[in-house]
Amino acid sequence: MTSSERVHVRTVLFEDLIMRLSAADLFEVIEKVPDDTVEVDFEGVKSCTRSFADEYYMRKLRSTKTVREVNMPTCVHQLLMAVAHPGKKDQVIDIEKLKITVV
Amino acid sequence: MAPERMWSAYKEFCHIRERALMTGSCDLTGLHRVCPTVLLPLVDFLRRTEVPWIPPNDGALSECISAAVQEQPRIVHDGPTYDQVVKLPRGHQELTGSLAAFSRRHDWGSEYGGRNALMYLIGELVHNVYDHSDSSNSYLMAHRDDCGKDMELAVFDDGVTMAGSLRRSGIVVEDDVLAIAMAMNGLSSKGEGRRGYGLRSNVRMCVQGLRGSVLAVSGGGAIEFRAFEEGRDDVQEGYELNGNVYRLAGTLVSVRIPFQKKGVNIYDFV
Repeated sequence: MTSSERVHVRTVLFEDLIMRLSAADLFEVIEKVPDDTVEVDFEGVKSCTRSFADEYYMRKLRSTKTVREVNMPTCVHQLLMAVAHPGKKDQVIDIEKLKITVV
Repeated sequence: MAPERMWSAYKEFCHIRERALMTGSCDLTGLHRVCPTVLLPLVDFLRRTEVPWIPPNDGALSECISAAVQEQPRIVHDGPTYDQVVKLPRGHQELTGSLAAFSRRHDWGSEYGGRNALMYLIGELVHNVYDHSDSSNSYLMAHRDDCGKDMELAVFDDGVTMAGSLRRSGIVVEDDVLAIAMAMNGLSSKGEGRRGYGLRSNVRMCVQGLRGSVLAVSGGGAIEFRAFEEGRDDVQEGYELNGNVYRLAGTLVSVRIPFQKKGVNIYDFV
């Protein structure tokens, strides 16, 4: 699962990073690494949800380790950027103008 | 010609259910097509009530329903139109493997926005079920229409509904339509700030990115949001489900994505 201070995400989890709890699983492994610095290797990861990225980001902030990402694919990088700098939530549904039919 | 609206498909389920409750038997002989928006709540209804049902004339469709009602997942079709109602497992690790297998069977969404978009879409929809619904049963299904024009994907849970989830966290909403609208706009029962992006980003990606449509039905409300038809603005319609005929004990979210070779850049919408 780990080689010295490197944790391979693909080995601990799946190619697709979906659930918040999966990020929690990953940090359980990270926290058990004896070194103070841990490299998280994202090689082979194919997709990522915002939920996973958000949990990863928050866990990393709280971690006792210095965590560095390597081989980070665009899908993970972009979502980590998005959760680190959450933008304003513009309205998707215009509640004032929503046409409502009673059935 | 504009595609059939998913709201119409949901009403088809409601009318089947109403007839079954009136007659004590669920006649599905008039059901001719695979449509997740119809089949997911129908399977849940048949499982819960154990009402006897008369199978559809279409053998594959009949097998699909039978397998789902009996919770015996199996291959009904091989190939791109493979249809299966997937009962979502409880554990998140098992779930992730199950979703990956599901997406693989649907070619990783290669003709409907790409793997990243499909996994994001499914992942966040399912995530909402696990995070908010407190449901006993939840299902996932996707179907590509026979002409390959679009894919419909739906997630159903028998949980507390969107309004119920918000109420449990102390957020009072006037009605179910407003609860759905607020959830689509990013309100989360897990608190403001960092949460509430999942459904919102899915709706944006589907309608604004993939030019598809989204239908959410939850308790006594429904909203359908469709990409514009030629010469029109995107369409948002709400439905207040006053009578028992159209109410849903749980939440159904369906998305329809038109065929497209080009992947979508999901980061524009997250």
